[in-house]
Amino acid sequence: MFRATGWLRPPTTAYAHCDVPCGIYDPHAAELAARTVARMVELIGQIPAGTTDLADRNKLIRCVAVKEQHAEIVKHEIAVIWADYFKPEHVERYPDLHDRTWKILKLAGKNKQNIDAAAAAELEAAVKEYADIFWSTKK
Amino acid sequence: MTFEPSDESSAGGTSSGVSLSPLADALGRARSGVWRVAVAEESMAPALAAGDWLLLDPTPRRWPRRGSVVVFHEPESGLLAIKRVAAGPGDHIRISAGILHLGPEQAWLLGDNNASSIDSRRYGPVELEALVGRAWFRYAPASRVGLIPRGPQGPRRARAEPRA
Repeated sequence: MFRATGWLRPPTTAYAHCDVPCGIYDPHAAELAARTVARMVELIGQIPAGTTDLADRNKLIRCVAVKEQHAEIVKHEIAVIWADYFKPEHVERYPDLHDRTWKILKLAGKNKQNIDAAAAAELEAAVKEYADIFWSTKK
Repeated sequence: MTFEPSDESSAGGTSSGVSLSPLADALGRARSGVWRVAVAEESMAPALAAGDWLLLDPTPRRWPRRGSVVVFHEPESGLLAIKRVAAGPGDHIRISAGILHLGPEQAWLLGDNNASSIDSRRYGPVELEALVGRAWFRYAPASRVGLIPRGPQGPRRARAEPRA
């Protein structure tokens, strides 16, 4: 699309150098965190119901804590991409972007509240689609 | 030491570069200089945005006036950087350690976007030999084409207390 102006493009780049690494966004952290939530739900499901074994209870508590943390990471990472990376032209191209963001944040909350494999899978899929949208805007 | 043409034979046989005629000197630098740059990162926002395409004047032999936008080699990293001249040779600036008197070939360069800019507050005064050119015109994007104004806050900024 820039073929006509290609020869106008400057051969060199000058950096208005920032402390904050501007423009570095990556949905991978959100995907990894969503995957972790799903994996924790899976591990929690493997703990025998009604167990009084200390090791099992320890494992349960650790899995729940990790699930909680990583659901929060999903929310944070998605919110950053949504607020800081996406621009109005991206919303024009993907009119459901705000709705998708909102749903992921809600889903992450749902995964904190429950131990629900279906909700975890839903979160993973929604984050994956979000990541696909992100990468499509980089092309 | 200022800019010398890299090709010594074009310097009219002088080895020190001291007795170059200004015209030959300017021509030498114009030939080897950087004429156009694309801006990356946001420390010059809103005056300059990432993706702006600029024309440079690669011929200045001294630091342009305060408020001018210059492209230079960042000390230490050597990265091609773009900032505004906050203070020039002979100027005094107040820093946390006291008063800094800029030498005859030194400038104090700051980003407009103070909070996040990596500039002289980080690496100190910049020597003239690091100067690549003065940005004077933006030719893209089409909606922002025009001369690059000297910052109105240039002189005032020079007296401002830099971040420690």
